[in-house]
Amino acid sequence: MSNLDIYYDSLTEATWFASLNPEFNMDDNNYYIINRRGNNPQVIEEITKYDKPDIIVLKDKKPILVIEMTQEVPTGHNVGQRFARLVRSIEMETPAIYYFPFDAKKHGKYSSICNLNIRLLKAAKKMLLIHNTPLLCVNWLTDKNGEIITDGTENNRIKELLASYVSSNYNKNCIEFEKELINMENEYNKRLNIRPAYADLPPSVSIEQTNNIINKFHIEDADQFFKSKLQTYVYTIEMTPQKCKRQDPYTGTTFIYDYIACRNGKKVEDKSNNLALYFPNIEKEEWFQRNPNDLSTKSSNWYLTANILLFKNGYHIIRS
Amino acid sequence: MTEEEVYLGTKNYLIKNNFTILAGQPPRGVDHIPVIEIKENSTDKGSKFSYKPDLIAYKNFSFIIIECKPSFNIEDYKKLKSIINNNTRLEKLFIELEQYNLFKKINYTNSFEEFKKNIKISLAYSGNINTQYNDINHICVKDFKGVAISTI
Repeated sequence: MSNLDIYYDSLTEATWFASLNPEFNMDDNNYYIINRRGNNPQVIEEITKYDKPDIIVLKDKKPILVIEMTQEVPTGHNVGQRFARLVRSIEMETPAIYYFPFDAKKHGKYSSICNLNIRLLKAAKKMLLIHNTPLLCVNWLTDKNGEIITDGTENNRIKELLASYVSSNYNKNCIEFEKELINMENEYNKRLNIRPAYADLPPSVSIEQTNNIINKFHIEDADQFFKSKLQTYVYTIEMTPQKCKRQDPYTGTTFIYDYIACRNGKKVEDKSNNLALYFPNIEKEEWFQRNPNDLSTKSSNWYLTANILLFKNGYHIIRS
Repeated sequence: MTEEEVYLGTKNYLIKNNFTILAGQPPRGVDHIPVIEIKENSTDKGSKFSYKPDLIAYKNFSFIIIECKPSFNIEDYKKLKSIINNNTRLEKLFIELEQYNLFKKINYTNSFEEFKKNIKISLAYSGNINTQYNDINHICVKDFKGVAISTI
């Protein structure tokens, strides 16, 4: 008898999860929907602080697993969508499984095969090094036409992972988790050979000398915490004022670049380089009207990890 | 019942009664079926007149488009009626099912003309069958595991 507490965002996903291993069946465990912010047990509030994942498994009231699933490929700039909810899990040393197609057909007028942006895998690797907790990226297999497989066999790998995790008594270093990390490494190297440009960050992220940023934006109150890091990675986000009330995919993508280029420790302050978010089309006042640092809303995600926000007409230091 | 429970209950009921679930989209989250879109005039996804059915199922050379709601919904009734009576939209649906290789999945090789003769519509909801509307099928769901009564 399992008696786990399993929190879900969607009943459809909950029934899918319950089918993956007898240990998670709905009869022997407690299934609860994840409520809106402020209406969950504290442990769920903590793990959903950045965003809600699809499944959260608690054992003895402690989180032991988070799962996020999507039919969409995290490609191009959309790589960051959903990422923040996974980051939070890893920060809390809870293993996470991100299940999505690595390559799939995008339908519509410009139908084509979309491929995984492997910077996601690079960020996951860095997160493992820092937090000693795996973020497993598991491929939702597709057929030769790029359509996701839906005959049940697409769940085989995730079932193996979960069986290994369960039989090891929820050891995050279980055999299949370790194998999947190797798979991810191999996948990264294989895809990097195909698209070497992905070894570097995209053109939207530039490396600047911190002193140049201070001078350019007249940051008079830059403190030693900011100045001590000689380089600042600047992620330029060209949203217009009319469309700046949003977070996805940017806030998740911010974490990807943070882990790849800046983070060297568990806390967001642990950085070897500064991280700046630059909004060249938006004035500071307009920004704060539309995206306040309000913890009861997702706009607070803009303030989770960057050091500073840079605007058309000013700046805002987030952490000092 | 919630819309999600009706969706799951409908899906499970259909599976129990030997339907093949071809496509659909739950009200929340992700399911393990393709999401297809019935467009009107534009080929772009997400166009103003595009429509994503909650469920599309198949059995014995017949297709059924289903809309799920907690209770009988007159707007869904009108929507489904407009689709079944619109040759262009049925043709778009046919093309979508083809492009997603869903006809191959069920070994269906009939023409569009045959297809449109064998397509039905249904509302799925909890409660009792609304007998006022007998020009549409009804699936009345009792629980999300698939207990239901229906006219299909």
